[in-house]
Amino acid sequence: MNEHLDIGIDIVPISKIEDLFSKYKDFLTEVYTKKEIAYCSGKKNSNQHFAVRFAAKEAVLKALGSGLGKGIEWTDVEILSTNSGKPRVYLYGKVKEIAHKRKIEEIAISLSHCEAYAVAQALVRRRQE
Amino acid sequence: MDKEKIFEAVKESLVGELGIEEDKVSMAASFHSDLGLESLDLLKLFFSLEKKTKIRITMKEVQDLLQGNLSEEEFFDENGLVTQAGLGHLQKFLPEHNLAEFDGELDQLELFTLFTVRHLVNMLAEKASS
Repeated sequence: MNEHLDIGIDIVPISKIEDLFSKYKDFLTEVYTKKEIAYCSGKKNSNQHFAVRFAAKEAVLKALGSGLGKGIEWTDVEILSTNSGKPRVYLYGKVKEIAHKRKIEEIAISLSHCEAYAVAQALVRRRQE
Repeated sequence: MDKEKIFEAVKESLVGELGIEEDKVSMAASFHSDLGLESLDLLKLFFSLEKKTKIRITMKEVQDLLQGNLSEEEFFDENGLVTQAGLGHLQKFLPEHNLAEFDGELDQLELFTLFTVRHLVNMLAEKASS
């Protein structure tokens, strides 16, 4: 049995997220889960936390090679942080199904953000028989 | 709402909301390759168009359109690449592209780069008439 690694990376300007929030209220619920909204809203620089989660969703989808496939919702990829602050990826719906079919065993994610940009990198470990 | 008016609305959003140069916007322009839009920009475009036209388009609908009636298994192989059946469907849907040049290496992310202004205008027109 072999293992295969895939990576995905994404960068988001914080200003784009701020702009979307200020003009289009539905953006929040179309893209983020309730838990993500609760987590980010409680943070001091909430837009940075929202932006880095968008980057992380993209990075995970890139690493899975799936993009926003048929039936996939942005909320199918959820990025939450443990008490120690380490981010973790949770999959739902169609993305979970795809990950299962592609024999994904583990997804690791790393996030970083500053005033201007948010970046995320995802690493996916897949079993190859 | 006819296609000409919808195209004008799309152009207005691209220029006004996303800072795209007006002369770059044509029906044949690809959102990714020609206009440099990322998925976050497309989300903004769709929200902006909803405000203007009252028609809501989601990224999910774009992908559904590209995949047609084929199931996930019929459209993608186990490595996430578009199958021959998938390429056959896409070639009919995207006659302006020569998909043979992807030589079985088209994944979902590249698929997204093929989406053009014409496809969006047609989607909006179809939704407006239904």
